[in-house]
Amino acid sequence: MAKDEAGSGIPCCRRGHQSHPDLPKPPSWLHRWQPLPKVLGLMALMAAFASVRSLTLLPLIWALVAGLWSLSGLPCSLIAPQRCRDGLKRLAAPGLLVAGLMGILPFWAGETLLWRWGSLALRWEGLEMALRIGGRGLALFALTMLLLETTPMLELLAALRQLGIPDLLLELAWLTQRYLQEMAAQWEQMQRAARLRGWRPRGSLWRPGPALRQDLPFLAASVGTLLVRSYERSQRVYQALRLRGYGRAPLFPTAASRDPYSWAATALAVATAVLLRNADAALN
Amino acid sequence: MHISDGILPAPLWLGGYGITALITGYSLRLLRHVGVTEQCPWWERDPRYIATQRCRDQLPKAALLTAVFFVASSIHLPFPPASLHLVLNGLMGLMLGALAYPAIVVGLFFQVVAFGHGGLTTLGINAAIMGIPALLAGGIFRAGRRVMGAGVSAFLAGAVGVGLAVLLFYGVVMAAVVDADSGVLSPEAGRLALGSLVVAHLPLMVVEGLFASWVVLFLQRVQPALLGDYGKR
Repeated sequence: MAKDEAGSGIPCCRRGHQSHPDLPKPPSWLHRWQPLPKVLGLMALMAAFASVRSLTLLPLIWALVAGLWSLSGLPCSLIAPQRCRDGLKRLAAPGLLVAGLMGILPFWAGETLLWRWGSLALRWEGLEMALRIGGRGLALFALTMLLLETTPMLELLAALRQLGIPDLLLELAWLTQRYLQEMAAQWEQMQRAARLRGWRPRGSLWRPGPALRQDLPFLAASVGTLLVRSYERSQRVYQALRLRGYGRAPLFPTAASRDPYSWAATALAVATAVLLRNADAALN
Repeated sequence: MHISDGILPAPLWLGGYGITALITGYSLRLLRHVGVTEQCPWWERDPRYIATQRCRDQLPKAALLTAVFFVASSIHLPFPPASLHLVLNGLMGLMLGALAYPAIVVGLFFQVVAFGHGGLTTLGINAAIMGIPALLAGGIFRAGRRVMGAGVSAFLAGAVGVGLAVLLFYGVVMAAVVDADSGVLSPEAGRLALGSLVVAHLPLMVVEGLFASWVVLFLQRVQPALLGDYGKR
């Protein structure tokens, strides 16, 4: 196989147009779309997708999502396998309820019989609703991932501030994000220490004796300890924040989005959303 | 117990955003008056100060507690053949008071970001499903604390918080699936399914109630300041 000039062993075709492995990949078109217009454009598309009732529009929705995905530079085949697994894991979380409804509705809801085997009957109305829920759900999940993966959190919060979300709520989100990793690490450390001291989960709620008598009180005391530690820490953190001038200026400076291409993209997205809405109304 | 994108019709998720905007706005307004009394120095009673600094005083603590609840809600208890995880919205309500609703909005937003639970279009309705019972649980705890004691009132708050959330969750999902125009699912079948699902969640209500009660009794011994009232004028 052909090797690159630096001799790294990475095939040239996988590196695309990059001339050097150390250079960062140029941002995709979706990354360059400024946060405020991007939030407005993608939210308009999400609103239109979530309102679609006609099955004939689902392929069009999926074509739009595929187009945006290809512009984002985030296809699964171009990212590392670890990220791929993460993506599938993320898909499993919202997919549980959607999959449950898709499995139940075709056999439970509606009156028009398509197929019958004993007491099991496949009905058209339920099948239509299941396809609608599944199609819309996957498209919306992909759009959400596009928005969150291509916009840094601080820029996203600044864009939300420009949209009128209260400063207090955004500051709460920003501070929570800062503490999440630390709290998760502290919880993990407490659990590891408990295991080293000999604690093991003794039962399950199926056999509630040991679980309810021993495991649950222990977990409650652990959560209580974490709350007390975090409360004490929050006092110190707050004093430090005040000393550094917290509260005297907004955390998220609002920079005007003047990029005409970003606003043109937003106008296109909003126009597409309106067209979809009208087409759906006409088809129903 | 999060509703994913694509399940709800537009009026439901738009209505959810409306409810969440109203309650969040009201919660933040209440927060601005926390602890403002005649004994406060004059500058702390200045409306501009109240509107900015005093409510920010609560934020670091609320953010840390939100992060703790986010982590604690990842505790999975084995319940063969699956497992259940704690919701803890009742506990949030009794500890954070009025601030529980904004904290739940933030927590749900990060669940979308980190795990893909729920969705951006359903963030408002999911916040209403979790947040309204949390506020109610906070009220139950504060009202019942002096009469029944902290442990019993915390049990009730925890159980009612998750029980009402389950009821709202399945009620909203059924409202989305029961289509009166096309007759996709009859209202009778919807009610039967709703009743069965709520009964199936009774063990979760008991577990959440016991868990909240144990946490509150622990905090009462170790750090009673954490059980102070938020959002009380």
